[in-house]
Amino acid sequence: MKTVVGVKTYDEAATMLRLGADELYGGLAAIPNHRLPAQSFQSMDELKAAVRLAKKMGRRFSLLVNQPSFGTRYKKTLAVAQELDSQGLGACIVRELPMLESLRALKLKARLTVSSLALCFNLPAMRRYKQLGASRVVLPFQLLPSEAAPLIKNPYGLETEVFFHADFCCANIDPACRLWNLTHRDQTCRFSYKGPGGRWRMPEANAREKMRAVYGFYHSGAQYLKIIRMNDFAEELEVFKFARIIDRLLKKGQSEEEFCRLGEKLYFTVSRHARSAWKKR
Amino acid sequence: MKPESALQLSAPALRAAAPAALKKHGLLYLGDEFCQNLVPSPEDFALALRKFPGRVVLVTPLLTDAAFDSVEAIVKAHSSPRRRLEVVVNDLGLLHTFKARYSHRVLVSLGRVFAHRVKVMPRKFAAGFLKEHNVKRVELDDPALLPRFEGLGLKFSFHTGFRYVSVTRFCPWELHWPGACGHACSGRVKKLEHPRLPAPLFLRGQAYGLKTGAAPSHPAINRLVREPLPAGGRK
Repeated sequence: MKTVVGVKTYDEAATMLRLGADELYGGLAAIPNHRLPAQSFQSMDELKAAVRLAKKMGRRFSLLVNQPSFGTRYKKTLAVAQELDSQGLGACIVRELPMLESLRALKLKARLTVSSLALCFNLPAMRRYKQLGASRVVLPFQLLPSEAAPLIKNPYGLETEVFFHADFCCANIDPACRLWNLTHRDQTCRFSYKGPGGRWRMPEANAREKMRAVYGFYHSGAQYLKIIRMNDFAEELEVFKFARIIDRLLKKGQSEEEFCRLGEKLYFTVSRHARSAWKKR
Repeated sequence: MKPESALQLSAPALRAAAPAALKKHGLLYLGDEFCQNLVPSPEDFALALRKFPGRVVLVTPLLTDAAFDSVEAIVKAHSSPRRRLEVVVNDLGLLHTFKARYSHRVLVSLGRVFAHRVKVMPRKFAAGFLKEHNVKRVELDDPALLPRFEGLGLKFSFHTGFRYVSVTRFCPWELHWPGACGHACSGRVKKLEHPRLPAPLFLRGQAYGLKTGAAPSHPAINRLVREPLPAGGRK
């Protein structure tokens, strides 16, 4: 699978391209996207330079436009997309229908990618996005390989991108989740709650289940593997390394059980979840 | 005018319901907005029509292709231009399919998950989008959303008892991704407390939410949907 890697500075972009990332994506702090401003490029000049670098190396850089932004910021978002388009922007990753239509109306050279946050769960939704000008859909985190298979093999010529579940997978459907609004400061999904019968946490898939998802997506024909942006670039490099090893294991054609066993072992040695274990090696 | 009263039941709850419990309401909301395993099969829907004396509204969540086919089968079997089926829709693919193929057979109500997507659209775009998709009604459980949809010629169904806050697809009852479902959530609710939260969260089906009281008074709210949290089932 080709890797699509999130970056937030020119140096990160240059490093990831040098290490073999097939595509990059990122946001600009001044226009809304789904992560904190600190996880985005801080200046337009630096973002433009990263776009130009990717273009020069024959790779694609995608701009994140995956948070609702209307009013004056809407116009600014469109202006940024237009300016980056002139520098060789590869695509805009879009969540909301009005933004998709507005970007389409600009007739950019950059392609339109539907964000996972747009919750494209089925072929009729995919067909609609194709009609609206999309050329790729990022499948929602929460869609299983068996459920995603018809979308990956869609008859509309749309490319599909999946998240690297082995590193991260939010169990709650993020665009439909307003837990943040309960306190406006906490990741309440990570709380240890007092529940009936003792402490209780919102459950999510374990390492073995995440590995099964990666295996399933690969064998369903997913073309692009997305690696999320992180605050700590050193961690992101580890995850990128982990993804490359996993990809090599998949290409060897191992059985699902063997892949999951090895993948789970790697998960606890290479991934950021056991960073200290990696450093000891 | 007094709002009409609707009872919300999932497909497994319908199968277990005594006929007497269904008589108090003029309308049955059958299905679930948050979990596709609680959406009725075509057979469940036929059972509801036999068991329930009033109208039955089909309630749907985000749909994978398999679940989509099941919903479409219900629409094909139980709707016609003379007897339009009301469907609560939370999925763009379903909404667009209804517009393209079933516009004379269904009445579309915008579901609570989808309502949060439409609320952020510029007002002019939202008005056009709702009109284009023949949306005449919106399901709400939060009074704060009423102003966002006012003046668009819509009627509102207000859900009482439970205001959803988050939805998961990793079943918190059976600890697996969707698929084989044992309906372990049926008739159960979990109360979850944390000192940093202003009120307890409740887990019901695949949705986390807050307990709510009576519906606000608003001229466009002409339907109240009762979603009782199961009493005594807080396991």
